[in-house]
Amino acid sequence: MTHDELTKLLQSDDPDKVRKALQHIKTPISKGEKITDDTLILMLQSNLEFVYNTALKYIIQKKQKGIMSGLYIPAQMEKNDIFDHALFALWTYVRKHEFDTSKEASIERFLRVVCKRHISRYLAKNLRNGDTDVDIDTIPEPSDDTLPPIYDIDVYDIMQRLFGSLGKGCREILTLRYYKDKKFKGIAEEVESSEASVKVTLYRCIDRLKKRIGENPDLGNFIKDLLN
Amino acid sequence: MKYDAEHIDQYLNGELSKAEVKAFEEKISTDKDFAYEVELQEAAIQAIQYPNFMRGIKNVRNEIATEPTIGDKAKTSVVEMKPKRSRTIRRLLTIAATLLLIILAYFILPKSPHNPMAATTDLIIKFESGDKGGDTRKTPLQEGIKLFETGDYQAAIPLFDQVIRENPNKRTDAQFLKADALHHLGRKDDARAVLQSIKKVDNEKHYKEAQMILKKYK
Repeated sequence: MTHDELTKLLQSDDPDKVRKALQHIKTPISKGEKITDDTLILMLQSNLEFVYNTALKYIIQKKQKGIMSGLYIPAQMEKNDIFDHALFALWTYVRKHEFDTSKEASIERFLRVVCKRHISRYLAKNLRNGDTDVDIDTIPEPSDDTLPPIYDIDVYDIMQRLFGSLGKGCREILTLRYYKDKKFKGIAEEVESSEASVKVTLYRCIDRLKKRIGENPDLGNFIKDLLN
Repeated sequence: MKYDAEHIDQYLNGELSKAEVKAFEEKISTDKDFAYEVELQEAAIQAIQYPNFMRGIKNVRNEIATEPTIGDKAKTSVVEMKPKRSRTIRRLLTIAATLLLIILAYFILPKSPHNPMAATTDLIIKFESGDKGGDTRKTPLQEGIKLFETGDYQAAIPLFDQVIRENPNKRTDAQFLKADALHHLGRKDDARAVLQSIKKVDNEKHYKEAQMILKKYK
């Protein structure tokens, strides 16, 4: 199966075709063969959770160790947490941007840079606060600035709390739209409502969340800093 | 143009036309508040995705923890074999096991009363009970044997005495049988005396057997 055929199947709306494509990918994995970055990106771009989770699983099992090797991990940070945040950054990035896989080991490079950025920001913040006795020389090299803005781990944690503070109905609709990538028609069927009603509710919910993020002093300023 | 959440959403989802995108991006570059609004919406979307994604990753990690690594060959459980013992140790173990069996057999198997003459008398009886070529008459030795086999030792002894006196060819046979009969009657001293009376000139083989028996006979 060619890459184009695989792309077509993975992007299909027919779950059977997607499963067929995934089976085509899983067979070489089970034999211990490598899957290319192109295929992994394709899988991460899929709207189906079981497809991109297969890619994430492969990355964790086959790439995490190599990517994290040699990185200084502060005692207060968990290696898996840092890597999982980097995976989130990769996942959100490939869904919005063209990912140039022509560069050698570009997924590895992306993830390593993000991990380094998370660690250096954490150390910089804690050094400022005097919470750590880490030697300044151990802070990783400045990260690659060609990458898009990536939020701090702390920022994600605040955002997670703010999302959790929304009502159940809001959380459900927003999750269906922005995590499960459902169209309004699909969301309306799932929540047993009309498309128009879903649309109104969804934008009202997202405005509410934006307001809470903007009103949070840490987050509001952080986002402003990103823009400057 | 009014830029609301829906419109920003359409831009972020790539649902705007080229002209609309151009206008949208111009607005971002010239209007800081608007740029902030767009960034805020992107942050909001990430705030929605983040907890869901982390939940998914947690499940993936749990899955990894409970199954073999992707791409690894199916792992077969390996039973660790004990190293082979040296040949000497194995031989010693075999000997020890055999001795153990013998000791167990000694204690477990029913014990027969010690009768050192039994083997010889059995042979004599077997020989004397053989086919005599149609001659149905019984010699005193055969009659004594018949009584001996029925357990009538007391009655058998005079017949053995008769053979000892009258038949030099069968004397040592009769002496052995008489000693055995006395042994069964509990007269061990008499039995020993009969064995001592077996002479080398009569039958060298029986003499040697008698001497050997006498050494062990208590």
